[in-house]
Amino acid sequence: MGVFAIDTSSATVGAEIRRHRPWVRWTVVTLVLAALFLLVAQPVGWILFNSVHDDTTQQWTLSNYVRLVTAKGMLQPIFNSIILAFSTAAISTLLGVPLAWLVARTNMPCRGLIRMLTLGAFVTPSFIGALGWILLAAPNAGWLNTVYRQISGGDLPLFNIYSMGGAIFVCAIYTVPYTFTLVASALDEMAVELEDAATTLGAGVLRTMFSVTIPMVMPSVIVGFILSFIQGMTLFGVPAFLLTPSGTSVVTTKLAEFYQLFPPELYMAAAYCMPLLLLTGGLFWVRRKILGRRRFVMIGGKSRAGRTIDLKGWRWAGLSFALIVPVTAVLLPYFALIVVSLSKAWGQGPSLNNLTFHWYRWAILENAETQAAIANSLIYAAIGASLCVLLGTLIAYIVERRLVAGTTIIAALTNLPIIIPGIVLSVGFFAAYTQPPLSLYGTSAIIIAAFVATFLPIAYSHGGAMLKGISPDLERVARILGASESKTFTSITAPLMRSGLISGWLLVFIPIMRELSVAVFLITPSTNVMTTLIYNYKDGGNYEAVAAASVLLLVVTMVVVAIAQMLSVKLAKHKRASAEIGVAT
Amino acid sequence: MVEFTRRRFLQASGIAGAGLAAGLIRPSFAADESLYAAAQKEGALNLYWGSYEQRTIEAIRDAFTRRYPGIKVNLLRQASQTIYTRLRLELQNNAPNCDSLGSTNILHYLELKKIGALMPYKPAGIKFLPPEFQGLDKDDTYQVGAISLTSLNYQSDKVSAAPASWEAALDGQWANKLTVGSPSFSGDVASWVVAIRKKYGDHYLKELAKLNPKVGQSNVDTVTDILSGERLVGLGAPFSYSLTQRAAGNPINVVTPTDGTILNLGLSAIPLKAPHPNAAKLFSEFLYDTEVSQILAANFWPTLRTDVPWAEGRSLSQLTWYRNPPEDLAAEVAEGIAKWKDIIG
Amino acid sequence: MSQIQIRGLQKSFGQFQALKGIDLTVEDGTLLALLGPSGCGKSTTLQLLAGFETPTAGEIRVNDRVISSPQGVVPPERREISLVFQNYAVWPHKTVAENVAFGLQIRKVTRAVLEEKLSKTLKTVHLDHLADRYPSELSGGQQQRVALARALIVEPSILLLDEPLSNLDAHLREEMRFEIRRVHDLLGLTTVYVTHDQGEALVTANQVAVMNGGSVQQLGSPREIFELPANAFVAAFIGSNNVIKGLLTGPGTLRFGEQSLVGNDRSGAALGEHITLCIRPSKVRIVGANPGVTNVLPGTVLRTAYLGEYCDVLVDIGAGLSVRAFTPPSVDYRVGQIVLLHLPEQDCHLLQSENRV
Repeated sequence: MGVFAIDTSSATVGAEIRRHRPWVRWTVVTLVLAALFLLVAQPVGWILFNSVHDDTTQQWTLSNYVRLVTAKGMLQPIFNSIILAFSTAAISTLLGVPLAWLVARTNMPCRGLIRMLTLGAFVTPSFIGALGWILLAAPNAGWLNTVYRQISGGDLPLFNIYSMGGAIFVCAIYTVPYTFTLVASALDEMAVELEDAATTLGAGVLRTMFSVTIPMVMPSVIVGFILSFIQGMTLFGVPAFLLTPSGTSVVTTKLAEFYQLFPPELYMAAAYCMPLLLLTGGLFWVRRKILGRRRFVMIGGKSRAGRTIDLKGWRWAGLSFALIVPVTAVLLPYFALIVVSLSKAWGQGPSLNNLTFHWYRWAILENAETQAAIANSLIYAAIGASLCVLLGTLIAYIVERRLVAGTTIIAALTNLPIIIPGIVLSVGFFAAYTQPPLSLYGTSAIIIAAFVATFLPIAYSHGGAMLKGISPDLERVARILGASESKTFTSITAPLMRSGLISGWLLVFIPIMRELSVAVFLITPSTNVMTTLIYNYKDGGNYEAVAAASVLLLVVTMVVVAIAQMLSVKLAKHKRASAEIGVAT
Repeated sequence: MVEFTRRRFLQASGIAGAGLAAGLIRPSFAADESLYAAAQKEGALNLYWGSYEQRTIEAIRDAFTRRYPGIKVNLLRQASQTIYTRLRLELQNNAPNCDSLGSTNILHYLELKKIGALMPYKPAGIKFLPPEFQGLDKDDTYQVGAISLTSLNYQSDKVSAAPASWEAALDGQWANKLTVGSPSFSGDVASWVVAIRKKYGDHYLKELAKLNPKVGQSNVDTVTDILSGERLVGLGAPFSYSLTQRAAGNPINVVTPTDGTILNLGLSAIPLKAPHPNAAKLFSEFLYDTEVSQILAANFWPTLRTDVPWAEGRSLSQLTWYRNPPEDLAAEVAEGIAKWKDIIG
Repeated sequence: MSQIQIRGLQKSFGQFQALKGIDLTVEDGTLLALLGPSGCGKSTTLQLLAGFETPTAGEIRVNDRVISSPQGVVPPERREISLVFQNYAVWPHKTVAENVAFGLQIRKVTRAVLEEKLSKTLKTVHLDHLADRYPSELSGGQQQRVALARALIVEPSILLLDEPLSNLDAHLREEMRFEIRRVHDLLGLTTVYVTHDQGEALVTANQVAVMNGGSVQQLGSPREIFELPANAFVAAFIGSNNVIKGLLTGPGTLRFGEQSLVGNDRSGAALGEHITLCIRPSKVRIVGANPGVTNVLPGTVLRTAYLGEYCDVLVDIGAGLSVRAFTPPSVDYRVGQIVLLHLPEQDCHLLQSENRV
């Protein structure tokens, strides 16, 4: 028995312990927290501050909130939003999860094509998708309805896109990429043996899918559902175009109303988005409750990647299902937009003598504004994505490795922007950064900053996922061999995250390219971006320009995506050592 | 010596103008070389204009740039309401950026004038305006910048006999075939609603509701709906823009209703804290230039000079037109919007 | 000279107290094995030794210099301690040579010296022909040797090993045990070796500290631990063991049911307290009638297993208890056969079940 007299002359802490303060760590953490404060806390703080002020008198008041619950027409849009969001999330999950399984796990034909087209759905701003669908499915003039009427001989349309159903449909198909991507990457990581265990016990393909595969990726499914719900709550363009004709309001269109009123009720708008914040904040809490305690540990061993399930006769049925999203989100609407973009006068309808490349020539070669907008979009998105990924990854590192106390608050703050509608965040930024000392109005800096803030939650969550896959032991070994914390980060952690960083970059770049509402109040003519330009064209009724610019936006974004993915393939040379404990939350 | 004094004078008047609220000084410069020189020194001009559609206002901007090189024009063309909200944000946050405000809603200007945010200025060229539109504001804080006509439009391929008046549009044959913008969104539609209610009361709105019109946002949406064929007749529709689309070869045409084309004046003003006041003044002068009116005519807009005719031989005297008087307008608009929401949705 | 002194070391994670007070001294050049089941606190001790955690109470000294205390710790990179991880933690994006050379690169050693040490170390662990491979191309045993080489090349004063062999297959494990012992003897490093495998501990270590529930149950040489376990936990953890619980009814006398047994009383218990009698199966004899000794129990054979070197016989001795005996392989016992068991007094240890701290 190791019994020794305990030395009661208790430790005088060696001077050398006191000497070793982690300067680099503290500097980085301070900078990161400062950035977080400036990007999130300040603008959101202003929104809260504004919400308790009166628009006309500028005095402190709770009247905005009182009006919220008592005045007519205030609560109905909130209910409508919930309906829209929930249905969007449900459909997005029902479409996205099997799609992910088909693409990641089976031998369905054309998997690569489906992945690419689903990416096309991710790249498309949903308001442009809505415009395309208006061309296709407006009750009287929609092309699909016209064809249907000719076939059926009747008068009634097959679709009416100007309805809640239409809005849900369009929102859902452009939200599927979220659920799809999350679940597909979880499936890619999953150890195959777990399914093998089921099949050797006699479970068929579907049974295995439902009882083993999907439960194992349930965390990703739940996160996908929540993200889709949030999308449904915060989208503006789709409900604005599709629900206004029937007089149905949702939270985002109601907010736009406050901004459009005379005089504008900006402070009321700030108060109005509080229920939204509470609701989605509640969702995050629910998510933590469901997923928090459970650890989905997949003990390593040699997990053989890439073993597919043979669908046999069901391959073509699977492909038909998988084509739903690519066809509805990409092929059909872009077909309509391309036809319009090639028309001299689109009201004439498609015909041979109505064809021209004029609009593309105009947009690319002649119109300085379109050229500037394309350049601006690319530059802001590239810089914004880079900064966002850097900041998000550092925050994820600080939280995952618990470098400071209070990581829960840091994580909550980082996730906050995702539940704030873009238009409100944009006003928050306006308020925070148009006055001295930080007068950024009219500069590209304020737009980039707003973009970084808006998509920080995505970069953070992606960074967290990457870090969870890097065992802390890999870093500890470096430390114990003599490397300082910063040296460890640069020679071990960062290189291991390289290919993940590229996919993370794309995950932010693409949404920035297609973001509209955050930019509306922050752009000035010299800092215009593609989406606000297209929206202006639409406001001006110039549909040919809308269509041509939309197609250009798609092409330009896809080119960047293709380049980034080629780079990623080159860099992802060394697969991680197989004996790793993977923890999914 | 002369140059020096003139520049001093410009500076002084600029400073004095900033110090006074109610416009005791009415500087009146001809669009001469000195103003251009001053504007050139400023080097830029920020236009916040929603009165004209993109193409027309861009043509005006390009003409200005050709005439006065060395001044970079930044054009923000958004809906009038959006522009006004942005201007308010700028004022509240003390970040002035707008040099020239062109909105279709007079209420914006009344409000801004009330808080002393506008610079009094009387361009020489306003004498070319139709007489009834000169001197709208006795303090010259705002002038006419656009004459916006709201009429009916229709699909010319599919409609042989379009309604000749607002009242005729209420006929049952137009059920499910009408399209209209929204007064909460569009200043032009709001003024149409006020005028219609004045003439026919809420009865009109009730009858209109029965016909199940498609309700959009801006009055431009009527053009879109007609071009797509989704609806056949548009109410509260943009006269000029519809004609532009017609000229482009689209199957759309207008009807100036017998019971009154609604005329709404798009206005033009210079914010008091405009960062480039001389460029703004130069632009205000240029607005009444012959070249601009020719551009307007080419785009089927009413011209701002009586000596430049409209396109296709139309003119103000041919029309039966009606303009809402500005008194009580704020209340009437609010009421109109409320009733619209109640009755039509 | 690297002597480790651990005094009153405690560590709590929130409410959970992982270490309840550890006192250990590891003399220079000794290989100490920390042996115990999962959750006993051995890995936590190692983390504290490495400097990744701060003690809640107590201290760690190396050569009388305090390196860890609740007030602060000397950071890992300044301790001159190397650690070999359970899952090797070999960097997948570096080759074998780059992995091993890392520590020397940090120390800014000249290129010539680096090359020389690198080739020497790789030869020592028999990896010189794989220097340019990536870890994904290596087997588990090879990766483990990379980890070992990486730890040794920097000539640490103390080496820590965290269950280094648990991810290897049995045959390789046996081989690597000797390998580690050989390297240790060659270099004379003070080593702390964490394992849950008692075979590893016995083979490699000079001293073994058996841990359970956050405290040290016994510290001693492998022979001491095996032959003179301090309590029933240690007896059960090392080697095979028979456990008979009962009451201390007289000096060295344990009563269970209606029967009594005599043995070495090392329990320190008072009369009437509950204690445990432990005896190794290899010491239990099956004897013929009237053997003329004490501690004879009749029983019924429940199960036999022939293992070549011996027979493993399980005998029911009543009162719900059974005893295992390793008997010479030449004799066959049948299930249900009545036998007499002799538990030699000098091999019976009367013990407490566990140390309480």
